[in-house]
Amino acid sequence: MKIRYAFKGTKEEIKLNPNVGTLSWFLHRVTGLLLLFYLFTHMWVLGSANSGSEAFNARLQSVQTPLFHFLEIGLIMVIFYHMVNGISITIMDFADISRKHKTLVAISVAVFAILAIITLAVLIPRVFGAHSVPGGHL
Amino acid sequence: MTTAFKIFRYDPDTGREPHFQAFDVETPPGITILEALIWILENKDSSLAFRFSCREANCGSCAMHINGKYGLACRTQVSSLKAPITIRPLAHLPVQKDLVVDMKPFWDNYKQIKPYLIPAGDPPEKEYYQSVEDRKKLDHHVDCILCGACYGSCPVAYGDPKYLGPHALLKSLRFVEDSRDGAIEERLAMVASEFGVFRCHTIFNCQMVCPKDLNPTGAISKLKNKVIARKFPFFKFLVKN
Repeated sequence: MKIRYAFKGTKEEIKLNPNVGTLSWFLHRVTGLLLLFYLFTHMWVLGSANSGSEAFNARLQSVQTPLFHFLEIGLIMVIFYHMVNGISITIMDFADISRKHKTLVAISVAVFAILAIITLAVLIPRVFGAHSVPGGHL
Repeated sequence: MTTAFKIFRYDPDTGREPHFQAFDVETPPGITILEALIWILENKDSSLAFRFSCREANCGSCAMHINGKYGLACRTQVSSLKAPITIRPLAHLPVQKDLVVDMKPFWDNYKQIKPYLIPAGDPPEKEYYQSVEDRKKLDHHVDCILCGACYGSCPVAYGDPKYLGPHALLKSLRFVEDSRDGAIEERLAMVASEFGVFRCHTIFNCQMVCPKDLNPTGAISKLKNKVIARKFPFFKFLVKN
């Protein structure tokens, strides 16, 4: 019930405060939850190593699909967002530049965009190229 | 010229659910939201409830949510907004009637930071001395009129009513930076608690809505730095004290 209340509140907060700060706070929460979810999936794959190398190989093979490779690009974007926003908030606290919030947001967006473009330029041909060739690997 | 208004209505006595009521208001040039509300009260619906007192952004009574932003009704020009103008009460505080909210949680949080001078020793012979430079440090923070706009806009205050709130933390810095105050350690311990500065998510809504253009987010950052400098002297080189 309390979790439902918190989520309902988040929607209302964004509606009542349509600021860049509210949006980045909301995305920071969502990406944080996604990273938590990824951590469990990650442990699920790695944990199979406890049952021997064959079990590990079999489980690793089960996630070598186009869908998972595509999701990996999303995962990297999520990490970049969470990282850039987290660092910018930390800089804000230590550097005493709270009056220049909008400049910092603009710089953060630029850094995120550069990271995203480089990653997409490298990964998209690899992900889609690997699956267009029979037996291709990343 | 007439402007369309949509005003939040709720009366616990009637038992009707909260809803929005539309009004068409005569708005000559130069009229503020507060004057428009008074016009509605006098000409359309005398049961409309809202708070106001000074009408010149000094008392902080008429803070409300106006067209997507918290602010003072007396300081917002009708001509600066797009119709229909939607008015809601402050968020995170229980609504008593229409635009009137119960400010008790707001004041309870404020009282917790001991918003009064706690001198270090016995009172001096004459007055407490404060140099011009020391007084200048407070110029910014003393302007807070405690209207509640920052508290309403803070998403952290929604999730946790015990969170002290931007208003209380800004005032806390006002006393921490006061050269006459002798309880700095006590004050910093208070804001470093579970419901203090480290609960802030640096969302900047409080800074954006402040009708006096103060900087509660910056004040919270400063308090964080002071707390870190005291708790972890090793990191002193990192923080601005």
